[in-house]
Amino acid sequence: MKLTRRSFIKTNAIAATAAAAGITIPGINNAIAKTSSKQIRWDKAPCRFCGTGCSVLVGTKNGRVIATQGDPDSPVNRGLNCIKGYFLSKIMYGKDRLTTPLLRMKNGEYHKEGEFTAISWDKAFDVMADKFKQTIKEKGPTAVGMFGSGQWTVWEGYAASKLFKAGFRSNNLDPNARHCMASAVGAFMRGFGADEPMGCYDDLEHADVFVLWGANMAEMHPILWSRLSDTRLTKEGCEVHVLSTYKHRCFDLADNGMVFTPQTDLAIANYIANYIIQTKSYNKEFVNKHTNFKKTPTDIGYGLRPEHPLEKAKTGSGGKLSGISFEEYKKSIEEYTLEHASKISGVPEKNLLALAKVYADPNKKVTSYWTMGFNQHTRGVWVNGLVYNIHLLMGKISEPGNSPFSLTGQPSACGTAREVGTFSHRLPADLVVKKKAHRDFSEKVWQLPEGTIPPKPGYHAVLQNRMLKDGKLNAYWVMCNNNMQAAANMNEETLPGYRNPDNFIVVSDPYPTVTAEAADLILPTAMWTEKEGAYGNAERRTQFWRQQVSAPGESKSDLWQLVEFSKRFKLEEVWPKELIAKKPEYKGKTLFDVLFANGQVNKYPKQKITDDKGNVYQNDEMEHFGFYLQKGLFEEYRRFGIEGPKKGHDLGEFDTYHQVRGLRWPVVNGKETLWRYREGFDPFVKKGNDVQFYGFKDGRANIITAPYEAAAESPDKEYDLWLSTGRVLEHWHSGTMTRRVPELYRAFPDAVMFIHPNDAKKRGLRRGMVAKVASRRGDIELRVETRGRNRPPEGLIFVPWFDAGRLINKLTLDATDPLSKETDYKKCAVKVMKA
Amino acid sequence: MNISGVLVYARPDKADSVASTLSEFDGVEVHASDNGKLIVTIEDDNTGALADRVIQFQDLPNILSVAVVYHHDEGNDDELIDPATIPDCGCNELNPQEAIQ
Amino acid sequence: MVSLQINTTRRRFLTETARTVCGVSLFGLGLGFYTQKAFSLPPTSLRPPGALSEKEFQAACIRCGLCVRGCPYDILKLADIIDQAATGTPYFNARHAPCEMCEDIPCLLACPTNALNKSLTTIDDARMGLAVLIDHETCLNYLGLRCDVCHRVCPLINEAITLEPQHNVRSGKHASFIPVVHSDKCTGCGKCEHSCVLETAAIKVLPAHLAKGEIGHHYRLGWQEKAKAGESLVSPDASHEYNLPEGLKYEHSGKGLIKN
Repeated sequence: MKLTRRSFIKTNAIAATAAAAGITIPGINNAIAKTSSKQIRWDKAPCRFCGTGCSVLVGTKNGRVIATQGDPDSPVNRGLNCIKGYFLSKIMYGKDRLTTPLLRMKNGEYHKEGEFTAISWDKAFDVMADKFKQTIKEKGPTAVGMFGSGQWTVWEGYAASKLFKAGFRSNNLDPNARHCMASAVGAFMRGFGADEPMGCYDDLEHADVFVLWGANMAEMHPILWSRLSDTRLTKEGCEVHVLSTYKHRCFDLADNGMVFTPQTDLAIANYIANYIIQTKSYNKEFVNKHTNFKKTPTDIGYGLRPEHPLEKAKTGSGGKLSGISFEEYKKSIEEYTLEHASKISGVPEKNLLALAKVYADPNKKVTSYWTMGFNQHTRGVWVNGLVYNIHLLMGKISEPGNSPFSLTGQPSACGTAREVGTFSHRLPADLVVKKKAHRDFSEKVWQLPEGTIPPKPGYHAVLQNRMLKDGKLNAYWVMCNNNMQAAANMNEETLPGYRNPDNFIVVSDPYPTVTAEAADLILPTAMWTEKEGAYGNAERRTQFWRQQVSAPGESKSDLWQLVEFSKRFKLEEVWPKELIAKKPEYKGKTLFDVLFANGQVNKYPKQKITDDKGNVYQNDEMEHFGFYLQKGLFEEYRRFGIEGPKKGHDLGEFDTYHQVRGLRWPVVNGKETLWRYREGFDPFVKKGNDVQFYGFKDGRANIITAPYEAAAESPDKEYDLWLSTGRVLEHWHSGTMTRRVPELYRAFPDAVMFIHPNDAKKRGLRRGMVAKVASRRGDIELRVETRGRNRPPEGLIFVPWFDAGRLINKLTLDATDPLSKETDYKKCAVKVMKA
Repeated sequence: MNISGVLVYARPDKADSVASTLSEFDGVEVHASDNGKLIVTIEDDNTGALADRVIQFQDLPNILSVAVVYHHDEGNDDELIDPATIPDCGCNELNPQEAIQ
Repeated sequence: MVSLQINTTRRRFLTETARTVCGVSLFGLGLGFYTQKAFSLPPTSLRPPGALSEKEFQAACIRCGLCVRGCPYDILKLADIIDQAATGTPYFNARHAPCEMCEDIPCLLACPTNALNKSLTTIDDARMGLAVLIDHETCLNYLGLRCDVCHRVCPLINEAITLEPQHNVRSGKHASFIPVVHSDKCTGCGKCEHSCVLETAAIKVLPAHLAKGEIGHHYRLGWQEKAKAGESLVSPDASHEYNLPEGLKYEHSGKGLIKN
């Protein structure tokens, strides 16, 4: 029987009347209780938001997600959620969900300046395929591209990678994780030859000292922060050191809170390494056995357009490492004395010394955490590496409690963007397009002729926008992200790029985002539990979920869109004759036949999906394509980790993941790996080796010296304040989902400018007034906030970026780390005045 | 949708016959009877009907008094119990082409 | 004509309902005055055990005063015209004198109507209000002192009020014992508020509707749902296995890494 609100109210009416009469009606209270819980089907899913990877139980009734609860059996969150997770059941039901494809049209035809008009999927793909084919024909594969996501499911990223890198033969595929984790990846690859952390969340209970470098865990990883806080409260001698460019909620718990001048984290980290060496505290045996010393080119520019004066002035370039001796390393950091570091950073000497001492104490287990403060940094790869240097000098790595740990922003930045390799230079399982052996292996797994995958890395995120503006990238698909609101310097790069008449822009999204509204074609998209999915969190934990409900209207998952679109292309339309000639049996086939109906991906026939309680789940993609698409993609993808040239990336079997609360890879013989590179914990370390960084042939990690260099843009006389941007606890990224939850919207409705009261006063501003913030690139108006959660020092303001009505990316500078190509969202110069 | 919980006092010895009389009205259900006290619900989609029913009941034989104890009035009919209400955040008002100016 | 008919019927309906609800005796006091404070019981005035919800209680109470006479401790008062509670109805003030929770509930037995609901037979099931530790800044236990008077006077000690030890960060070597009230047990008798040693009580008994929050209907507490069901709602995991050195084991749902 359908349970209605009517019967619920009636039950209440009976109960109230009976109570007034003093009559007991047996079972009436039970009936009331039952009306709200009966018939709810519960299943598990990872949270849709951050990289923590909390598990929730999703309650579905009558085809709708009506409730969630923290999963008490999840080792990550043990039944807890942050306030975003608390409202997960509401994110799919914003009333402006897109339900049909929308094309800009004039007089019944596509027109760049036309009005958005509802069309069928068939028509949408007709127009879109035409544009892609025409572009490839006229300008070649480098003129098509895609901007994807660290919020894609694993198989969505994998399908996109195949479609672009093999199908269209374009490496112009990059995820929004470029804005988020690229610097972390760069440092992992340079330092260890393999991506992703060696430790896991259990370090939160095993460390004696926590050091936060540019990570506001209290707001950005709330559940991990409560684990860290508990250790601080309950463990004898536990200390928390917090470094940031402004005071935030983590300072509440800090034993040693340090506010430093932006960019000087480079100097602070070098000072600590210098202290360790000068006091001879380093672990000589570890350093001798397990590390190499290297240096990196310096004065490498700021990833701006080549004609920018800063790029013209640079003297070095790239990141090619050269070997140096311990003595040379020692000398390279000698200048970073306590006095120097204190002077340049503005942090008192005693605080820096206290920090150096805990790292240098061989009896203290230290775990370092960082997120965007390090990654969104024009020297992001360097600064990530400088903290690895400290841990490697002390041998404080790859064991419980001793962990340099790069936290992830997005729910599957690790699982999808990084592990699947949806970056413009990567392939699955740490392979790269540049290396022939890696391309050969990928082509073998994908059953493609040699030479299918182009060797040259494609356009990365920032370059994509520049190429759009310059008219070199013309057919462009944006999926599962909101880059018009995210990418820096929107006024000068992103918007002119999207609206360039030479370009055709497609945006797939559940909601009409700023990005969607700047597109030419909008594709309505299924989200979260409207499809079967898999995410990989920051501790290498891969978690699966089943489809719980149908998507509204004509919405289709990203996976459906990618695979269905591939049917529109005959091989002859996208590949040169010579390439097809190497595999004559592919003649006349479509990309769908070659990439997805290849005997591997379509290997698993349609089946009934049930859990062990007998609940039956839908799988819209399986229904449509006639085979278990997700399983086929995952099992093919798994081969990269198991058979590929880079070892230690093994994943478990597809079916297993539906029965567990996630597994931390490498998963070997069904066993998870908690700490990598340490004998006993990691099955890839040879017996007797103790520690082996097997990402490199010699099993050694790199200690890479790098100096302090100034930021791309610093405050001057006119633009006299630093601008730092970031998130708030209540909202996820650009607020597309969380701002549609009324309670979360009410909790933090609009972006504000956090500013020091003295800075406000100097400009004649009071708390609550609307003020104008301007950079050289644009200006917006924001309310002044001198109190509250974030307390910037004089000379710096902080503005969150979730607010589509106050686009802070009109102000931010598109300077990037030249190595990782990740934008520095934490530093540019602005001025503030009365509105 | 209107749902009311009404307490009807009937002569205890006539409670059964009163209960069956009440049940004949549209939208009226008798849920329990104890020593002449009847627990009754009245459902209707028209607000006037509740008043009409109460007046009618009072005029029926063997009924001593009628008291409205619970009243629920709501516009939407038969909506599923669903907490997901949708805000208008104003988050989509922005047109990026205008935003550039 | 039709509309006039409806209006007449309406008026009759309203009049008759009012008669049932108010009782004839009250009309003498002036309906305007009455309605002004109808249903607005001040938070410090608590109803006797078994009282119906405030709206229903005021409808059912005939202001006879028998419950007040029945109270062996002289705790119950009848509101007079200057009191904030509806005139003639019984109440007590916990800070002044709390309910002694008589086992036989004489006040309730004395009630001639069902305003004090006869279905209440065990005083522990009474819900006169709910104790709330309102002021954490002055509560001595929050400050780390060892008062816990409220806990110890509670007739349902360790059920209605428990003490939750927490690490005292300031002193570094003591636990603070935080009093926590449990609404499923608290009768609202007011012993805690009455005995709070502060100049003004930090713990107060409030009417339940003022004291209780309500969790969103779209959310469940996972650990509670699991306990209720007696098992995981989503089947427990297939067993997790780990790569570990000798001498260590790992508990998936327990402590994590453990030395044997």
